[in-house]
Parts: sequence; C-alpha cells; structure tokens
Amino acid sequence: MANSKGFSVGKPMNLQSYNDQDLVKVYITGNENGLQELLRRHKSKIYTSIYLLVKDQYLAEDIFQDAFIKVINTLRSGRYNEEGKFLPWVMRIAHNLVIDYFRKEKRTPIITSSDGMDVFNMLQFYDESAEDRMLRDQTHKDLKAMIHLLPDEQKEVLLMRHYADLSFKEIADLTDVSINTALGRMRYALSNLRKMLKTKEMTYKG
Amino acid sequence: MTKTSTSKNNVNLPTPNMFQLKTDIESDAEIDLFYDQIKGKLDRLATNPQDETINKILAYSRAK
Repeated sequence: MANSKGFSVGKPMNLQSYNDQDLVKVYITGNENGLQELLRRHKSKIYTSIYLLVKDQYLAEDIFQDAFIKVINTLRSGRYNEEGKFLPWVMRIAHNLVIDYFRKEKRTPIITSSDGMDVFNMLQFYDESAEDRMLRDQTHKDLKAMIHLLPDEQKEVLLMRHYADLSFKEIADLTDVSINTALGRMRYALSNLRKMLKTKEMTYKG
Repeated sequence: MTKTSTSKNNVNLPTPNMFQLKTDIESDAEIDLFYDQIKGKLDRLATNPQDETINKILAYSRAK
C-alpha cells in the first residue's frame, strides 16, 4: 500500500536506499524515520564542519541542534524548496548560525585575513606552545591546530569540501563567491597546510 | 566648455600578478598529491555530535 506521495505506509521501509530528497518527503508525510536517517547520514559531515570552525564542542553541539531545529521548522511549515539539495541547505543554515554566533560575540574565529595571507607569522605563535603538546596525540592535534590557523575563508572551503562533501558550485553558492574563487581558496588552504606541515617537520628535525 | 579626462596609466596600477604569493609556484599536481596524502589524516578529525543532541532533535521533531 502506498500513500499519496508514493511512499509505502504500514510496513518498515529500507530508508538507507532512499536519496535525501525522498527522505525529506518521507519526513514531511509524517514518518519521523526520515529525519532519523537524514541525521544518521549527515551528522558527522555537518557537525565536524561546525566543530572545526568554532573549536568548542559544546558550542558546536548547540549550533548543530539549532540548525536542525530550523530544518524541522522549515520542513514542517512546508517552506522547503525541493529544488535545493538537502545537505548544502543544512550547511547553509549551520554556516549562517556560526556567523551569527561570531557576530554576537563580537569576536572573529581566530584569524581574519585575505585569501593569500602567508601563515608563517602565525606559525611562530603556534610553535611557541607546540612543545607542551608534543606528548599528546601529536599529529591529530597539530593538524587540527593548523586548520584553525587557516584564514577563515580558506578554512570554510576546506571544511565544506572535505567534511561536508559539497561541490565547488555548492560552496560557491553558499559563500556568495564564484566557483573559481572557491577553487582558489581550497588551493590556498591546502598550500598553507602544506607549508605549515613542512615547517613543523623542520622544527622536529632541526 | 572643455571636457577633460584622465587617462588611465596602467603602468603604475597593481596587477593581480603583483599579489600572487610564492604558493603559486606550487603546481596543481603538487597540491593534489598533498591533498591525497593528508586526506586520511583529515578524515580522522571527523567527529559526531553526542547521542544526547541527536535525541533532543528527534524529541523536538516528535513534539512539533
């Protein structure tokens, strides 16, 4: 038996085989499992992107929760534009909430700079406290710290591309820049990470 | 009335190349290779929200 939307009613559905758009429809038609599957599918992508931007677990949890409350409210009110893809849409909501947070706090997420900023000056600061961290999960911590040192716009693109798995077109739309700019920011992010890792290696060796 | 205009002297204007950084000497292939090398390390930074947060979201949805 199928409901008016074409989704089966009254028997368990294998939601893992559904695409996001179908899961949204399942949810809108009253099946909570649609949302549960969307959360299972995307929670790590969205949460990691938020967490690496705000650097605080509890704040990241709050923003993640607020983002999904907005998602639920929008879906339930029938205001969701079905033409948009689900993940980029949620990422946009989360991204705006992160920006709102930093605006309210009147602080910037670590570093604001233009695209091509050289990170060596910041590295000096980073190196000062590096010795204290050497004994604890070094690579993991170092890489996370290096991501935090990236200029905001580079960090955003790296996180959206790598963790949220967004296309450069989606990132460009979300951040209001051209695709070439988004591509360039990703390139600079990787280039800067590479420089930082090289410098780090030299520190260990030297 | 005489119209005046100022010609644009491109010689003294900065060109995009003037702001290019030394990172530009890295080839796309080098950057791609580097990305491939650190993908695994980046993946290991991925993390999940607490179950409590997910449960709160689902509870909100059910109550809505």
